[in-house]
Amino acid sequence: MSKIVLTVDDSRTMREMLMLALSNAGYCVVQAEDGMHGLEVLKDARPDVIITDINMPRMDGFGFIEGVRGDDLHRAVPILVLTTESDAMKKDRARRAGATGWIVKPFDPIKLVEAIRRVAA
Amino acid sequence: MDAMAAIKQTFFQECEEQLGELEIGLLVLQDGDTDPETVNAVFRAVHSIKGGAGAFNLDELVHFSHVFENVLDHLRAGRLAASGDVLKTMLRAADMLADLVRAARDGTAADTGRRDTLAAELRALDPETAGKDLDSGHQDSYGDDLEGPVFEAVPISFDDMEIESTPDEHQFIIHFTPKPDLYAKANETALLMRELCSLGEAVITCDFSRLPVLEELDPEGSYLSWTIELRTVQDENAVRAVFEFVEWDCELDVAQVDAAQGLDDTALEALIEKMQATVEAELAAPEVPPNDVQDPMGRWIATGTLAE
Repeated sequence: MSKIVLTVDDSRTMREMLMLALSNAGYCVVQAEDGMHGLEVLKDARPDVIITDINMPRMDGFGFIEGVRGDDLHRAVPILVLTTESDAMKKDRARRAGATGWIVKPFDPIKLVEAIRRVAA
Repeated sequence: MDAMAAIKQTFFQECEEQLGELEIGLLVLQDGDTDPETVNAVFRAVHSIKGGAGAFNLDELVHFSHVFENVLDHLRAGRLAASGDVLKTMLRAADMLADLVRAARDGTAADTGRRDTLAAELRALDPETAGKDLDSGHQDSYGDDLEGPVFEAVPISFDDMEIESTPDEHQFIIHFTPKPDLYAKANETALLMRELCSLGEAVITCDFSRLPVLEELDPEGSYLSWTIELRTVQDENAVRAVFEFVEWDCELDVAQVDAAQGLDDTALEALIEKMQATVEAELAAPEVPPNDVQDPMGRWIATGTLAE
């Protein structure tokens, strides 16, 4: 059975790129447009991994990660944040919010899959 | 049309939307609106354009939007005031950004002189770089990126090169003790061990000595540690990279012990002491039949003996 990845990003372009890379790697992809939408989607979805952007309207990535970690049903789901290489402060803040790891953007599809395999059985 | 070409079209459509949001947001700010969400929206518009441009290697667009984004970051952090002059510059920068988007979309050339002038004006607004001499070129990362790095020819000689047919194998001793936060962030030791094993041959030993009796066990605690002897052709950076997501949430010691790159005397003595302590503890423990240890999900953790 294919693993499910929830992608949370306000950029349509980024969601499509993630969809292409992940579906080519055999994952099923569920999408959300921002953090608030992501928490709504999690009421019905049971992803194996979550990938989230940080800068989003309504609820940013930090708020979303804290929301997931506060939810008993999903608190053990690995969460990878999309971040630029130079964003050390954002990586640190995401880590403190409860992020499992990160993916550097613009992302390399191979490294994306490697990062997912590193955190998901 | 292939998938990436279709996504690129989506990107340019999205850019037009973002440029619209950017202009509206800047005009609202110019009218005196100080709502932080307006500033955030303006920042996100430029940030999104930069992110997508990077994915398609649209370097001119990346560079200009990066300079613009930096200044907007200062604005939203309160380090730069949204004065009339600042917003006028930003509105002109937004126009330039639009020109660069359309040039990238249409494969035409943008006005580089105007681009450079506006980039300089934006940098002059940046409280971290304003007033600094950026004419030395190499200190200006934007200028470097536009003109390319400076290369100096370095003569090389093939005379002493040895071509190795097989890479050297290295041996590492790794001590790994996860902290509770590692598991709270959904990292798993079993997956880390799996990744280490993919680098070469690994012998993994689990230390149960800190495991308390059941009544005292905190289900969110962390009581196990691992020693891994790894033989691999990879270097130490590759070994440490396995732990890059968890380095703040564990105690980690990686020591290379192969003869080609030995430890210094102090590190070697410390390693020998650790190994002696481990051996002495194992010898002192009563013999117990080995067990496969599994986590609550039934997944293998290690084969070892439980300390009493």
